[in-house]
Amino acid sequence: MTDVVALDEVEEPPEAGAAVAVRTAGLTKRFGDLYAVRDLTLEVPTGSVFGLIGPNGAGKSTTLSILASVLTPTSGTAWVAGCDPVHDPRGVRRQVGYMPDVLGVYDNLSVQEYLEFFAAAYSLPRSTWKGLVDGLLELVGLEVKRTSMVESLSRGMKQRLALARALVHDPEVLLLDEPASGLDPRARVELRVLLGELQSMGKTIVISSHILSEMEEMCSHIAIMEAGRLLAVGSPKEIGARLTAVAGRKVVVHLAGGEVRNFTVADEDEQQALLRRLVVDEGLAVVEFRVEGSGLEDVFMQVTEGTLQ
Amino acid sequence: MRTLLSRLPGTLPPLNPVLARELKQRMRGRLTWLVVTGYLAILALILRFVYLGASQSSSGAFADPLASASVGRSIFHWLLFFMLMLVCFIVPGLTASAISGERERQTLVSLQVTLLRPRSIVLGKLLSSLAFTSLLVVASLPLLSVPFLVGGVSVTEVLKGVAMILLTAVVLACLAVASSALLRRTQAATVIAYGLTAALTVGTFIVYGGQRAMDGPIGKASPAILALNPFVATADVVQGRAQSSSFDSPFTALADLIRPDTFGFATDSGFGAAGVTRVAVGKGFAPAPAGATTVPATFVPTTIGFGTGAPVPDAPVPVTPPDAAVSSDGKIVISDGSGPVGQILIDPSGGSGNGFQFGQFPVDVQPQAKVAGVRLWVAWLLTSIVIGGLALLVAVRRVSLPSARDSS
Repeated sequence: MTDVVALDEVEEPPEAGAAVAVRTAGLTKRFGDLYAVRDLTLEVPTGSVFGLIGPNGAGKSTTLSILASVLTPTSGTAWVAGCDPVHDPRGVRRQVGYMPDVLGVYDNLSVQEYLEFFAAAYSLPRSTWKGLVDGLLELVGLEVKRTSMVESLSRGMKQRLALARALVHDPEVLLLDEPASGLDPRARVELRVLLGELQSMGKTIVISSHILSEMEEMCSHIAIMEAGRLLAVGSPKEIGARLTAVAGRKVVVHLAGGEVRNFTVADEDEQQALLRRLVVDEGLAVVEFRVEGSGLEDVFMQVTEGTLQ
Repeated sequence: MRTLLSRLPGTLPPLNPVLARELKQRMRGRLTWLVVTGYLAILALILRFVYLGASQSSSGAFADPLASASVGRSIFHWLLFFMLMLVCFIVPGLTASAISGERERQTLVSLQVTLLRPRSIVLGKLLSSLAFTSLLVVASLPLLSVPFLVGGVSVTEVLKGVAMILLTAVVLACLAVASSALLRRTQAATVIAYGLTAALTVGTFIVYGGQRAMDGPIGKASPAILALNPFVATADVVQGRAQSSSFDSPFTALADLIRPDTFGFATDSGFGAAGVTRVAVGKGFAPAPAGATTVPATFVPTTIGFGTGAPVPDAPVPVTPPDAAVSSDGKIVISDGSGPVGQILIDPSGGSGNGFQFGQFPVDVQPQAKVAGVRLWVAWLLTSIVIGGLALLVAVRRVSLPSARDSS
């Protein structure tokens, strides 16, 4: 019995001022026999845009739910903005803006009233509401929809409204679960611009997605999850390099006369060496030298394919 | 309202956010006006039906103020009865979607991760449902004022009746909120909410009926189970009966169920003489306390059961000595030494049909129904507070996060 108590207290929360906004240690969540998250240890630096990437069912949403103080982990610990979501959920909620993966909206409520409701739910004084709503609507570009009914908004607008809702209490950490899902390309670009703005405001953003190409450009850090486990973590470049090292890159070379040759190289250096060998050493007339699947997306597909259950 | 509120900073506590939002949404809903209109239409139809029936069956109609008062009582009791019934139909349906609806809309989690406390969420939901119920009750006050035109009902009685309706709504809403928090689907929550309502109303009658069937003779079964029933509790609160033969009060039969064995009618032929309140009693009552004003009266014994007045002797039976007291506020209270056990209401509806001559004023002796030593309606109130409180606790627990279960 004392062991269990001791386990809870062994790990100290990160000291104040540490540049870590979110930290998990051995985080595990089990639903019956199914491990949704298995021994996840992560550190999200303050001010970063941290992408949690993985196929459906990888445990991204469960992880975010635990961080947002919605679910209790089966074991392991988490700290969000210096608070433990299990023992101090209100401390977490005060500093975290959480946007669930499903957009729930209320009938018969205007955009302005919707945001005012959440301002009231965070006990913000009524005198601040107007300025707050104005600012949020401007930020997410919904000024013209102020008096529209929430249910009449398009999906992209609802998504932006949900983001505005998560920002009502000016949180330090944003947990966004699949914010880009179901958006058309234009809305996705707008969302990316918006997240860039939020990052420049100094907020830490943890974002989950299965759309890798988006994350590649948006995120400063990427963690790849699958079946509840963390596969890799690092900057998009590092991840790309590490994953490429595992999978290799395909190079397609078109020669004058229509001949096509395929090569597999391990990394950038090998790729350049290949080009040098073809052009200088062998003296071939190379018309096109294309690296296929250098995008994270393809690498990701290759890496995760085999391990899918 | 908002400008008014902002002009008075700090004078009013901020409204529960969930309540404020729900009120807005509710009043913008498409069906809201239909519910209000339908509710009032049903009550208005009942009013008309009772009014016509009672005024036809009452001899002399409104030329006689006493007959008129009897009609007034009938109308009031029937309206109250149906308001109670409508509340039982409306409140569970109105409240059962409170939490499960948010869950189905996927809005509950966004609400739970704000700084709103679970009890604020549950309370806001409860109050929003009760606010609408109160609107219905207030909207029906003009109908309840009709009895004032024809007489026979006091303001206190109306307030008591309305209070019972609102209290009933509170209990039912608490139960419905709990079932809404416990069950994921609104459909299931609605079924359970109506089931609980039926258990409190119809269910208690069935249990009581079963007890009586086992016990045999009428009046021996304990009415304790009926202390859960809002209809019976209301009958206990709005005592008194209309004397018109065919349009009596629905509460009369209910009240008869729970009264102690001993009660009866008494009459005093000299009512108008000096404005003195007369007293009459049934058997089994202790002597009046010293100093009480008591007067001789006649007494007609009856048996308990549905309906009244059987057997009625041909002639009034004199009873001496009288055993009751007049309290300072003019109410006639019958005491058994430990406290009041009954009260006598002077029913001004005349005695026709009950063996009394016109011009005499029958007095309805109504011993007070007690459960475990307290008045039945008090017992109802106490059990209701316990039931409602427990239901709210369950709901608050269920709405609290973080939870070990997947709550999406």
